[in-house]
Amino acid sequence: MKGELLAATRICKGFDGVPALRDAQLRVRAGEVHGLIGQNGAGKSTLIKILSGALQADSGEILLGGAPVRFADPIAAQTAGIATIHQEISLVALRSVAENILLGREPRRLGFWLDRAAMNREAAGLLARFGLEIDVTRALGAYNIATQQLVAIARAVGSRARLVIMDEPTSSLDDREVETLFGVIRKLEADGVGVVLISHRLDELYAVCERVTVMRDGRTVLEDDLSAVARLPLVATMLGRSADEVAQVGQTAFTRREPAPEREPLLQAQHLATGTRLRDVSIEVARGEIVGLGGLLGAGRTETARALFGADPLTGGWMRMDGAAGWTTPRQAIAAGVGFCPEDRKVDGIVPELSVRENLTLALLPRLARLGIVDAAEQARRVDDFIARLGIKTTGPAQPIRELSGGNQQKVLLARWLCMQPRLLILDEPTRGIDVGAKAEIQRLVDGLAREGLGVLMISSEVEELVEGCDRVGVLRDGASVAQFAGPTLTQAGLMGAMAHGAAPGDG
Amino acid sequence: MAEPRSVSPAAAAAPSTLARLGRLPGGGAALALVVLLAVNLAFTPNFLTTQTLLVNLTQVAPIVIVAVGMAVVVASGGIDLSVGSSMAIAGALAPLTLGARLGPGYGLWITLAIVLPLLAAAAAGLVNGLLVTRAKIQPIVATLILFIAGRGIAQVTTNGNLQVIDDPVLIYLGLGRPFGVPIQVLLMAAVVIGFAWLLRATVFGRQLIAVGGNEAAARLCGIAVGRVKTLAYVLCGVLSGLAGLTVVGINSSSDANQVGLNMELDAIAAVAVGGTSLAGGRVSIAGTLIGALIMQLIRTTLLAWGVPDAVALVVKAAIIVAAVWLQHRAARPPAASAAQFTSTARDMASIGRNGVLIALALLMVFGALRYEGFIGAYNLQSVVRYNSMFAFIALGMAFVIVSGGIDLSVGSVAALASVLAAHLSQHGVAVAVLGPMLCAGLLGLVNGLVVTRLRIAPFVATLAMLLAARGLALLAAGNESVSVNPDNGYTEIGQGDVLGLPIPGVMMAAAFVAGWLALERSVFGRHVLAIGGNEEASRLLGVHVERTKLAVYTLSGLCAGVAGVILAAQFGAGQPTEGLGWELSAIASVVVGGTLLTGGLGTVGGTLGGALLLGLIFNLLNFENGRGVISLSAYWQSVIRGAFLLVVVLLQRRLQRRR
Repeated sequence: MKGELLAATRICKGFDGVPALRDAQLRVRAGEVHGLIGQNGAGKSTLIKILSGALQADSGEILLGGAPVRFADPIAAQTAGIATIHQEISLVALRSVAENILLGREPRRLGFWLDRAAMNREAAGLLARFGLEIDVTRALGAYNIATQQLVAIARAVGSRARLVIMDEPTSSLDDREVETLFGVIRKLEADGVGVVLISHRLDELYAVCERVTVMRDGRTVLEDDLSAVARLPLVATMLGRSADEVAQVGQTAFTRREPAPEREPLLQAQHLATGTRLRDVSIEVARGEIVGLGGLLGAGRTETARALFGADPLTGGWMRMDGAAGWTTPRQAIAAGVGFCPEDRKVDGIVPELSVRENLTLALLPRLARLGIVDAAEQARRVDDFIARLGIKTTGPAQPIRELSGGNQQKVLLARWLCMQPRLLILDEPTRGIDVGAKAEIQRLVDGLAREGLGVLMISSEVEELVEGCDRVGVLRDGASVAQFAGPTLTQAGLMGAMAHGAAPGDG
Repeated sequence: MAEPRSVSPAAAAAPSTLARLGRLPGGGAALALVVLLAVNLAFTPNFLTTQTLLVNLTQVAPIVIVAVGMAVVVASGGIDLSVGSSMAIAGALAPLTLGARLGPGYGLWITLAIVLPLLAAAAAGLVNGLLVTRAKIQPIVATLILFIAGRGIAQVTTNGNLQVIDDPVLIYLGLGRPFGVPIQVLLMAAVVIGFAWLLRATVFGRQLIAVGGNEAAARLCGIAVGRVKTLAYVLCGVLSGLAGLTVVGINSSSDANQVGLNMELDAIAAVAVGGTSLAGGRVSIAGTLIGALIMQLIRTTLLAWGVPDAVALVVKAAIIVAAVWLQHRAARPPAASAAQFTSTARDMASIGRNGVLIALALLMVFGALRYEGFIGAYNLQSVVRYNSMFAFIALGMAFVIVSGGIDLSVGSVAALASVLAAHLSQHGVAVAVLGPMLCAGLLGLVNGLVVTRLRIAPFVATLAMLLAARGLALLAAGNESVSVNPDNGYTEIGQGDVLGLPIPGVMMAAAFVAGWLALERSVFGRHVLAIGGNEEASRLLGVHVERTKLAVYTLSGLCAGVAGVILAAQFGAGQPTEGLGWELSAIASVVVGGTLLTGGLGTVGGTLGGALLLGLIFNLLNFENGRGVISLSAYWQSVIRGAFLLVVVLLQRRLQRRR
């Protein structure tokens, strides 16, 4: 293809034998803004890290301006003309704005000494292009997040890169700042620079991008002109549904769970807001009901779960259970009868070095003890009981949990809360990253628990799971509840529409 | 885990029992112990006598007791540097309590004499715990405060005097032999068994390990993380107190200067070698016992074979690095915590720097008004002359801390450099200056390599170097101070003047100007600051992180080398045992000078101010005592230094939180 700037093809990368990229492809033309989208875990970040030299691919080919390249470290990638604005670990907050912009390519005198005046001049000049006139000698951390983000972008632009990769650059910018950014992006485009834009806001993608690449499960599944793809099929592709399928599935709504007649209300939460991302989320869960919570990445699903469990303090709204007042810490939530299986098992869930037994009873311990001494016989009895009931595959209760498969780790975490006999269970992506068999088992298990009267709030990014496994589904967008579906209105097409547009066809 | 993992029938089919044992926490250490025992049985005369056995156990008992406490803290994800100070406090309080005995009732007073010291040690642990959990100060800094101040408190309460202990009960704590077994061996056994049980069978124990293993998960399970951690520090304090009591019992005297000295190093070494992960979350009390026994056995083995104690230190260092490195390879790589740390930055540095200058100015004014001759040239020159070597150490330390690391080896490296300088002074002044610097720089480079290549935490890597360099110094000196050549003018480097100014002061000034230029005006300095501010970001932004870190540790070694050169010149002798605790004073100087201990922000000027400030405190105490109105012992300086550090660290914390 003519004018092709970057062609990364058949990129594969695994971590400890677990493949993160199986067959990724990204092709960007000079003077093009190219959107890159995909769900959490689709492999976008890994691909970006490989292109920016932070990671090295196991196999595959990267052509930059037609010549094969392979970056041993970030310095090599930057020298070759690829500038990357990483989403999180981006800059050094303690150092000055100018230092951040020119770190790694400072103007020098005699090779060793820093030419501070030149550095500040150059930095100020770059920022002026963004209409940003700030004191570049002040520490970056003294400025708000939006300014920091613009500084990061200025850094990338200022390096005179041929390809600029931006990982969610707009997530902390307001509308006016986004417009400024888009202005700069269009200017880059006109200068013949290639831009890769990762964003979860479809509006933005449609506003500036010429073409789009969609990734799923470590693979590139779509590469097309954006003008040729409508929103719904785009979301469908991202979530693992072909557009044809959506068209068909959209016609028939089927709910596997038969609607129960009347249920007593259990959890009521209204207008929740937190310092994290939530603006206005309302949820109700009744006894024996499975309520789903959907939304695109960054819509505020996990934040909702954490707020409901008392892990993040509320800045607005209220919640209560069985009419009793709310709670402000996980301890109080647990005492009120709430359990929470977090999204990231490794970070917030398992204690890797500890045994299955200890992980399973971690929350239960105080109830197993008399005078602070754990009743080992009772502990063993309960643990054996749950290992048998949930069919946890392990060599024994003493096996370290890190040796278990993802599905079995998840079962242990479920058991951790089930043994507390909770009234409400919050499950954040309970089936992510586990194999198909274990997934079905966990879904069956949750269904059975609900039949026994447990209230369940289930967060999932799989539309199918939400439609087939839940009685009702609420959809979040930009930290607020935007739609709710139940009964006949609960369809995959309806959910995806609400996720993409924020409007609910039918139900409101 | 303390419990031996039960081998299920299915698992018993595993290929090799030996390999399996090696994988258990502390299993490798157990194997090493068996090998050591076998070697000794075969080659060491009189090894298998009750006498030798009991002597070994008696010597190791206090270390084991403290190491168990350390293991508890380490399991929670922390570290406690103040254990030796807590021992000294407990050791000092016991005879003091008895000495204060008012009226009759021996039973009551002897009970108090045992309970009060333990309570005091527990209180020290409580302070550590609250600093860590409430003030959110990193454990190494939080416990550094009591490390400095705690021994000072013990010295102040006893006036630094050796207290003879003649009370039969206290002596029994050290020398008693119920059932023919030394009492501290019984105590040790009780502590080991008790804490192994505590960790295995109680809610606290299980929660402790969970907190160290995954704090976020523990919090989401409703565990009161702060309370659990605090209790860990309290228990460590109590055990340190108990160890302190047995030590003064053994010696039949209490010397606040000596009790528990360097205990933190022995305890950490025993814990690490015993298979407890220094990252927390995995603990073996049995392994800790084994670790302590290994260290002791190596010492006695080498002694029995006529190898000097000094070599044992080097061996010890190698073992620690090897043990931690092996742990590293076995354990999963730590999840990169990418917590973006934002703050109102610059203001903080200026407050620190201005703060130390203001404090310095206030002390000067105070001294000038109150004491005659204080502001005189003679006094100020001698303050500068005798603090210049500390300032050098602090300068190197500042670069390391700014880069986000720490260098504990500086004191030993300086001692080694002083010995080399003394030897080389026979061959001329230039050789005696450059030789030790070269050697010290190389040791710094080794630190850097261990940190960047083996990816061992700076704290552990340089701790090992602390031991190794001390051993090398003792070896090179043959265990005694080495005189320098008095005839060729080498001593002028420490004692002479140039243009009426003390030579070490001039050297110091030149070095600080160079250091300031390097940090503030060179690209290298900017990169050091960037790495300390956010290492991962710096890497992504194109900074040569490893190369820069190597340079930083080498620089710290060089500075320690210069300090050693000055030391030898000032004392007229190489001092293999000097430099104890210098690393911690240097850290205190750097922090008091406004450098952020977490890296990324710091000043050379503030560091100089911090070093001089800590020196001036000592000078002022001298003057105060000279007036004879109130007599404050020199030991107050440690207490004041600790208090200074506390205030500064708390202030830094507050500013950081305000963002």
